[in-house]
Amino acid sequence: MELVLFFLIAVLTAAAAVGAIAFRNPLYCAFSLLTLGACSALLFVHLQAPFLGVAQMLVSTGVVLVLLLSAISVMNLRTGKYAEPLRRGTRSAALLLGLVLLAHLAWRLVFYPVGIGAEQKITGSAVALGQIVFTRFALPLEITALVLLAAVVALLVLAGQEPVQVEGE
Amino acid sequence: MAVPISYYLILGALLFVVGVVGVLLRRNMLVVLGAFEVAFTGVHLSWVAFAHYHGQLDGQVVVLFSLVVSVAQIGVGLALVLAFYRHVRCVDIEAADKLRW
Repeated sequence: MELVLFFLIAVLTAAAAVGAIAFRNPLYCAFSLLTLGACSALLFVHLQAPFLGVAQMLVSTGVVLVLLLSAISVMNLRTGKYAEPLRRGTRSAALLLGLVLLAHLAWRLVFYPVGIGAEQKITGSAVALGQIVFTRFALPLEITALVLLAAVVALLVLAGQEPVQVEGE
Repeated sequence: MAVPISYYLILGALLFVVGVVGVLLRRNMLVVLGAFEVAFTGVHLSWVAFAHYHGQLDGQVVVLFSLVVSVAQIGVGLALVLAFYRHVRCVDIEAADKLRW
């Protein structure tokens, strides 16, 4: 039963991932990304990580729906046309690189033990995660807060600037 | 019947590869940012699978931090794309072939 459920979600996840990079219309890509976020949240819950599932859901809806869709509506639809596919050589090189990477990862995974793992499973609830984050991982937490602050400042600096006229264009 | 860890790892590897191929293949900057997110999701899935496998929460904590960083990355990336769009009026990645504006 659990296995059937996993395969259903896995197929949906893989399809959403392929859709997120394969659709020509970036709007469909964004919606595929949303599907991917929801599916991976389901997988997280499946893996005893309910808090991360909720966080992933929030992030994927926040990032995808708010950021990407607003960016697409501001930038892409106004120009009207979608980007054309890459030149033939670049495309086949990219596909080849991807195949090599996939083959390498698959080759590593073949020798990985197929097991279920530890006997007692720990559920990653908000309480359990918070107890670790605020004690053993306190310094990384502070650094993450600093990264977020830097990102917000960079965002304001980059996105809030006035359009500059460039000579010689 | 419980799911073996290698299934999750294979799915995570597949997502990562799809993300990398998307970054290499697409010309729309916004879709490239989305492909980054796909690759991130694959890695997160592997982390959580390992945390489940070893019965420890450390992997989940790392994913929590990584989620925050990926959001910051998408935000800054979109701001960069927006700044680029203001100059060039397009989001084609091949239009960004100069080192100054």
